[in-house]
Amino acid sequence: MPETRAITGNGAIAEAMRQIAPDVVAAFPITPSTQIIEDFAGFVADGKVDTELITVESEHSAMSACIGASAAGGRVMTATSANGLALMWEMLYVAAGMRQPILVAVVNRALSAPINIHCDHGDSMGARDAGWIQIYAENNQQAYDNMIMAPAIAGHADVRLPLMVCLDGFIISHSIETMQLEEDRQVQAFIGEHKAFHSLLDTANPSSWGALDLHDYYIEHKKAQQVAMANAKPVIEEVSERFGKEFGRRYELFESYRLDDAERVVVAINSVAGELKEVIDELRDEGEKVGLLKIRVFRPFPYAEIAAALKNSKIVTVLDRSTSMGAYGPLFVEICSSLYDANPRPMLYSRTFGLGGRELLLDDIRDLFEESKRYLNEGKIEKTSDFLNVRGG
Amino acid sequence: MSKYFEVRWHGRGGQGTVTGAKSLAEAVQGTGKCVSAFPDYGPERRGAPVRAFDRFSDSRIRIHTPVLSPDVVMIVDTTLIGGKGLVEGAGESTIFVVNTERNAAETKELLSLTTQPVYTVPANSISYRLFKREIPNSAMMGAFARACPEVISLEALVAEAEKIFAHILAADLVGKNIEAIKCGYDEVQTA
Repeated sequence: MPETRAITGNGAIAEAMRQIAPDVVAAFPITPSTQIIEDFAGFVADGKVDTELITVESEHSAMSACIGASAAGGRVMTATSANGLALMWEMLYVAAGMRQPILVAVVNRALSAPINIHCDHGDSMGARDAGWIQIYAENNQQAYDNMIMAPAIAGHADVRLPLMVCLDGFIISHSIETMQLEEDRQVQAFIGEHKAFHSLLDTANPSSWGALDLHDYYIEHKKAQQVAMANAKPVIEEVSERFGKEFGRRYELFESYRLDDAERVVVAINSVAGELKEVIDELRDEGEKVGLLKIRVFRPFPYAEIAAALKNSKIVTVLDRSTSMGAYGPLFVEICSSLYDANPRPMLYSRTFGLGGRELLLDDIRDLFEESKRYLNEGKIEKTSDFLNVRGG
Repeated sequence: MSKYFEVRWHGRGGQGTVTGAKSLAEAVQGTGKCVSAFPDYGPERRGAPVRAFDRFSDSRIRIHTPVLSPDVVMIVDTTLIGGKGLVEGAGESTIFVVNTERNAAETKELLSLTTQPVYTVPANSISYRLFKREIPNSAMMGAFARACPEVISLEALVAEAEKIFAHILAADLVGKNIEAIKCGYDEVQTA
């Protein structure tokens, strides 16, 4: 029987991991993802899963252990945040380049310095070029659901790429929310058996991993990763559809919320989408044509689909919860690329918010829509790029 | 129940304020409502002021922002009175539930409240009596049920709390916490 429970985002991810029952989990906990590993270690200690839990000495080692275990043929997972993900950096590229379908829960947190434990997306956004599929979640339920879908996506024969499930630190990781946990057997039937494409332990069919690859083949291997990313898009759609049929919650590459006839649209990622929906409903009641496009899959990025979804919009505000120093925010850049060929092209501008956990309240979101209304009426954008709720702004 | 029923807890690090907010939400969830509960984490230090929030609703809760206009304010530590933010955003009928040995009228005056109902409960003495130390949560939950029977009745709270505590506590402590809830409920004074 599915179970309705009030559980934290971290707790939900740990439950998903228990149901996935990986062969190996590397453990080096870091705030705010710590509870995932704590809970999962409890499941291991209680004999609820027969996972080999490897306590390592750093995140670099955690990812190295994951890569080795995955190359040996195992289903492999870990969880991390912020500086932990940053310390994995070198090995993230190795995992992707070696095409290991490792699954990581990234509990989004701001990177140091200054030291901060709260949410922003600087950690996973920084890893956007590493060759990992990235799927984002608005709430606990979606974080859990994305994790349940992750093995079938990452391990698909046409994909074979590592995958990050990203959820907002504290806001989701530490909040309990009413959600539905699915039944173990049904989840396990949905996920299916793990099938290693090559195993280092298969001595009858020996293979080499991580070999030197210079100008003779390196670029072909990188092209192959791009092809795998392109393949991931229909696979994500297919797995999401199967998930919807099985469990009743439907997901697409992104969520269109009251978007069809929306003139003023906000594009955003993760938990802020909840606040945006709340304000959009209020504004709709007041007759305002406003809507939301919520990114779910950031890598591979669904350019054409987003362009189609925004075709009726007149002005688009892109909210980035991370910043690229000396450049526009990563989501804004992608939305600009999506819309370059659009005719007519909506007005577009960028707002950065929430770095290090700075709140964006419902009134702030109202102000944001008020601003887009003014820009639309005046036919010009005053500031293409700006920070919200910041001193000296 | 209007769209969201919102509770704001004020306590100090180490008193179990966050656990209290979460346990209350779990109990209310058990009655069939949608809930969310979350802390307002700063640096995690024993003794530092801590806030935690609950939202209850008949439908799915989408927002994650801190509670700004609480329906109920739960004050776990009276040494916070006079400090910033306890009465912030309170409306005319916001209910205050306060862990204190003082009487309700005196507490109301201390908080400079006028129209707002105040419920006091000596949760620390209940806690010392039962646990020989200061863990006021369960008594506070009982006082909440007394102040807000439309959200959760004492019977429902006890039934749900038994299940919740059974997951995390040994059997004798489950019993004592249930006792603390009942004492908290019974020993409430109002003004």
